[in-house]
Amino acid sequence: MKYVKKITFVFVLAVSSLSAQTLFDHDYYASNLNSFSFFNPDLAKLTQSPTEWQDQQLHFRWNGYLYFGDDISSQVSVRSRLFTGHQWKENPNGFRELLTNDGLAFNSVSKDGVGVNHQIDRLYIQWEKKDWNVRLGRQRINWGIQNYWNPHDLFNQTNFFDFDYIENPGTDAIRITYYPQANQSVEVAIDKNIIASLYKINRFDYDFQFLTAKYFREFCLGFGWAGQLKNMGFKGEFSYFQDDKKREINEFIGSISLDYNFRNGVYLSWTYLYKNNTLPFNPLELYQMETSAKNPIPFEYNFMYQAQYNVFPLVQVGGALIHDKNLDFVFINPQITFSIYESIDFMVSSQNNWSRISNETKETQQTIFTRLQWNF
Amino acid sequence: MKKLLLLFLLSSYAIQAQDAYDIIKRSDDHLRGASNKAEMSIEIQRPKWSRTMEVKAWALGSEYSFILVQAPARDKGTVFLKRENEIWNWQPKIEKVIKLPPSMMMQSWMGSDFTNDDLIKESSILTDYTHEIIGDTTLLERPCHIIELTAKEDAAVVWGKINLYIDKKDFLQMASEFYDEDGYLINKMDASDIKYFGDKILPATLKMTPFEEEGQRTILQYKSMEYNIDINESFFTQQNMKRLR
Repeated sequence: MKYVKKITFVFVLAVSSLSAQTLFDHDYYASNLNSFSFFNPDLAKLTQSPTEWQDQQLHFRWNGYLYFGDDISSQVSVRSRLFTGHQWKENPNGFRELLTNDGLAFNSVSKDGVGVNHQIDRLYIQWEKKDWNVRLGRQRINWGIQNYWNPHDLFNQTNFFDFDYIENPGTDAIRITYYPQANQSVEVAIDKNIIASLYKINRFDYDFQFLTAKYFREFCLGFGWAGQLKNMGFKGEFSYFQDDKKREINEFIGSISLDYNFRNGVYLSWTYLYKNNTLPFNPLELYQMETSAKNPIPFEYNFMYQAQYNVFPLVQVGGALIHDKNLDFVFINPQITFSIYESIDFMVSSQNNWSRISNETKETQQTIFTRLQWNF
Repeated sequence: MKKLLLLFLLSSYAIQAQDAYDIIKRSDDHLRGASNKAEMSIEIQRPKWSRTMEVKAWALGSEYSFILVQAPARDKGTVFLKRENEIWNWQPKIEKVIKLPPSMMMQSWMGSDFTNDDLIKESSILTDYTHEIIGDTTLLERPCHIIELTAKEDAAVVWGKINLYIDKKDFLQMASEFYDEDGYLINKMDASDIKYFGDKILPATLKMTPFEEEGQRTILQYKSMEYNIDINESFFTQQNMKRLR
């Protein structure tokens, strides 16, 4: 909370001292997400949880951009959400605390049945000239070359299951990018736990990237590519982590993917991820799951299949199937999106997961989401 | 004598093919210029609804292009970059560059009746097709050649055959008919609203109509068009992709 006040003060000061050369731009969207969840009765008894519940969320996102002349710019983005329903009221798995465990997040309303949370997830200043770009502050450093499951996303790993956070979190860092040639870039980024560099080059119709980092107390090397096999997209991303004092095992994690657009508009993709160090996984905490470059998904062998099709220009259907090698975890996520009006979309989606519980794979949880979104 | 006749026939065919090629080349050069920058709106019309997109586009020859989406708000700031055979997509919301599979080119452009290829012009009507003049006609009071383009066997193109109606005076592409590999007519494009952009005469409106879908069409309207702007190959980079406004 104290950070929020300080930052707001600095931002107000900056805005109030705007010169004639300064340009301001902003955009925003609002959405309403409702979810209906059904929980396995045996597990519900075991964990003293209800067998079904509902959640409602009103979401408002605002992105502000300031351009101070040609070279310097700044972005501030605020994500505000109003919660009612089970998660807020019953606070399972420390839901409320998770919302505010970040220095730039706070609850402006915190009552029994309703809560309002605000989070500043972008707040940076940027200097950009010719072949240089320097960015300081809370920003998204998106180093993955794969579409999903990115062992190179050291700073901001995404959680595939948390689909409502389109923008994904930011990190407090300084990042310097230099473009030595049109087909190359070198980036160095530093935050409180990570010092990392990424070199990118385009050759033979492929993008290649090389990662080196000190990641917490480990050294990390990575290699990735994005190219094509005939008309199919072909991507790969690998990382190797070695503990500096051999306290933990060396970890290897790699993913490859293929994707293709058929002439009739069907898009298919296949992604495979292997990691040698598996981590404990709680199927009830899909959205709160701690993901990292070493753990975009917890199992040893992971498979994802995706499909998308525009039935009409206004209606898009799609889905994802994720599972591990032994089918100890199976996740199915069908989705349909309607463009109701030029700026309004309506989505219905369902997340269903099956997990192995005492030697038997059972449907663990089913959640149905409806989301109405206005873009401005 | 027979040989002479054959030679004559062959040479007249070659001259004719050359003529057809030259006409297409002049038309393509006229349309493209060395480089250009355009602002356009694309309206998808269906019997019960319509959607409008607004984009800015930069192009250098047929090899390099940028498309920046400005509307609708949902997709604002999205950029497509094409460099020779490669295509990338910049998603500003997640600040990520995504390399797209080459098969993406055959897709419809954001739900419209134009394919990505129609807009970005990956395939070249000059090098990927053979050309033959098959007749003439008059469109919007302009006498036109009708030229048949047949896809070369090894060319990675969307259409099997294209009939182009090219204005004899200013080399404007007044209409095009797009056929699939099996020879079925799929789309028809009509140009209208011919006017000057700077010192260049061009149709400001292009209407793409799918042949078998009643009441469907996509209308592309140029709001502005600048030719021979000061950009070179090094403008079309992933670095600039993030900077376009």
